Amino acid sequence: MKPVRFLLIALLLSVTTVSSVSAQTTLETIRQRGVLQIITDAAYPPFESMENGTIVGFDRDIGDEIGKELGVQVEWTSTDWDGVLASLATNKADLIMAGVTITEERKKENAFSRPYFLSGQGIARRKGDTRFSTPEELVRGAFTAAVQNDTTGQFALEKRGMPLNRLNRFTLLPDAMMDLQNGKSDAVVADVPAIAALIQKNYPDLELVPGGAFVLENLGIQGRLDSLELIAAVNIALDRMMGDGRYSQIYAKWTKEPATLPMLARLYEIRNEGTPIPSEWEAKIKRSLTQPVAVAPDTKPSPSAGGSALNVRSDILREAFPVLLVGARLTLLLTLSTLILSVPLGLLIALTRLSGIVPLRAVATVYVEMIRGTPLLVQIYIVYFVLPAVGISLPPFVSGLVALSLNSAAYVSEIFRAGIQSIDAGQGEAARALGMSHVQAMRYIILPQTLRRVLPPLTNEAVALLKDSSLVSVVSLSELMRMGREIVTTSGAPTTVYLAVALLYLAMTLPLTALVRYLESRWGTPSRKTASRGKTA
Amino acid sequence: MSDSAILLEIDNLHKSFDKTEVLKGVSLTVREGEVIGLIGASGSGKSTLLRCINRLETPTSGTVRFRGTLTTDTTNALNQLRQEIGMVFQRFNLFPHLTVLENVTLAPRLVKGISGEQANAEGKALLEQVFLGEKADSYPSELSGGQQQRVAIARALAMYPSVLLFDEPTSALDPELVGEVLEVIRELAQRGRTMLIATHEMNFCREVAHRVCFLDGGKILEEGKPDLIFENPQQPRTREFLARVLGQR
Repeated sequence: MKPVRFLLIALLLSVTTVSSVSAQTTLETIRQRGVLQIITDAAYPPFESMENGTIVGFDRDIGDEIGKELGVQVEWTSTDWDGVLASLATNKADLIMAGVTITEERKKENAFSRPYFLSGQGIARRKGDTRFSTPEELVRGAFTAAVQNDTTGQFALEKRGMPLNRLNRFTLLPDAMMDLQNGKSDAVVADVPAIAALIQKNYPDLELVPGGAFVLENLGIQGRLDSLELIAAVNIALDRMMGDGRYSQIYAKWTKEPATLPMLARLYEIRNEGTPIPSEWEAKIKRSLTQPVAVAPDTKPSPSAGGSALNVRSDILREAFPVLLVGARLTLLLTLSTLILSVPLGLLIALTRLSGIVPLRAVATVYVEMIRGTPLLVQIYIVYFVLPAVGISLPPFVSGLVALSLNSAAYVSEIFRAGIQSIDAGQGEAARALGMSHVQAMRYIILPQTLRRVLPPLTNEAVALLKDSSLVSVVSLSELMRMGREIVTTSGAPTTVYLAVALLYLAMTLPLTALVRYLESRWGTPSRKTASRGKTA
Repeated sequence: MSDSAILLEIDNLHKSFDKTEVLKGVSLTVREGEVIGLIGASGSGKSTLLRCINRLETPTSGTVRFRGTLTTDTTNALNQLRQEIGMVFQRFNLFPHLTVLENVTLAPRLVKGISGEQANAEGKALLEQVFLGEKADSYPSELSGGQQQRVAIARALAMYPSVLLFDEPTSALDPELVGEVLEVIRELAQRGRTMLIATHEMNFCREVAHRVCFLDGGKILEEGKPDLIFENPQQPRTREFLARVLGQR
């Protein structure tokens, strides 16, 4: 569908909504409930960041002013960038304020307010690294760049031919900056103000490539296409703030630079670069904004119409499925590789813990307790982001593999330990009484029986691992869950995509459990019953 | 028999578990071809004595000599020693994941390095000897307790040990299965096997043993020819014990 035609349809739909007597517009709903819900990704200074548990920044101040103009309270929520767009699509939020660049692509999915910030993409590098100064040189010179996933920084590089394998994509921009600082990537491409703010805050070893932005961009506030009247109200609010100096004040406060007259003039000049809104609406909404609303006390903040949250869309499914399969392949590869490492390692740890060598036993015990006592997510972060500080710098896949294997090995070792200990002591005694060495008894008598016994708990571990592997997305690995979230951000169809993701996980775990059931039934006869029968003495 | 070579020489053996002293100075000499019956109440130290001989338990003090050589816990010496001393357990301890034949042949192949072919041939012959030739490919769980114990005896014999230790071999069996196991042991005795048998089967013991030792409180209280011990025990404790176990029959 061409964007123009799409817009026309969207407009027609909106007009019908507004003109019909019974249907309530999003704006009316918001004013009646007295709360405007804004979603953001609070790891993006100076636009938004967390300070002492509250969201602060340029967007926060502007958004609060918009709330005042609408006569409502603003409720702020922060989530990962991947989840921001999904929240809007599912009516969990009314507006997105997250320093979002207005692009034609995004205009097809969502409505944009008038531009409210002049920005541009810039390049961050390690201080004194002068090997490149333009995005083209980054692409040509075989450099690796870190970006925040699904941002215009990523698009700018992709448009210039950057291959995916040299693009480290992160959920949070600060993680991308950390990746650069650790030397795992050579550059970060993102909004100039965001890069500048992060460097000043936390990354003194990095710098902005001189010359500033290589491409200029306009930032806008996003809403749903079916709530254009809300966007119109936002536009009116922005106009007034720019006119009476509140905007300039907020701008200066967060960018540490004055809002110049040419900049304000430019913002006025491009006032219509957002989603077009019929001019007669503005007058109407301007009027309505001055009138107080009767707050109905029992009106629930019900989601407005048009979210289509429960529709499974086959068109999106057809497009998404091949992409999801790519993610599923990585998930499966990562899980299987991890198991290949963690099962022998876990067995080794279990044998060490059961051995008579006290110092080794102590080391193994401490290891298992440390792994079990900390979250896997933290372990992944430590392997990827902290190990470089001591000179161990691993690429994303290896980092994910190492973190998952170290984690899984601890749990597998406990499974083996319990399994070995559950074998009757008489088995080992019988073996040793026949002259077998300790190793022979382990290898031929104890372990074969243990393996059969630990198969069910090992399967549980494998299934849990397959699902836990989704956590490696924080180190820029596009496994199944991450792929799903990415498709949701672009398609705005979370129901369809997440159901497909769930089915793919099932498609991987069900054969695994079936295989184990088969093995169990095959081995069941000799191993289920114990050798000793009859009464005890 | 008193002129045949000395096989085992146990001298002043003590064994404690934590604070409990189970063996309080046991001395015993076993000659080649001798069958020795160990009787006594549960907890008198019969099992512990047997387990100290093949060093499944390490004695707290005292010595065990095998053919004049002091037994120690060094790995090599231990594996060597255990090839010479076979053991049959109360609860059989067959390997449940292996077939009957594999149970019998595994140790000869692993420990003695005998070829699979030869081990299988010898194993089958031994199974015939315990009347289980047709059960070679069964798994232990498919056998009755008596059959399992006979497999365990064949397994011990497969190492061609110089002496066999029986740790209450029929105590875990249903009464009707005891006979077939005793029959096999009786036959071994007739072939001149050196054996130490801890047992509660008094009639059997009297029949096959050349010498009977009565253990009480971790000591050998009385020993001698079976007829002497059973007909005319010298110690009041022995009399008491025999009256109790034989009276019940």
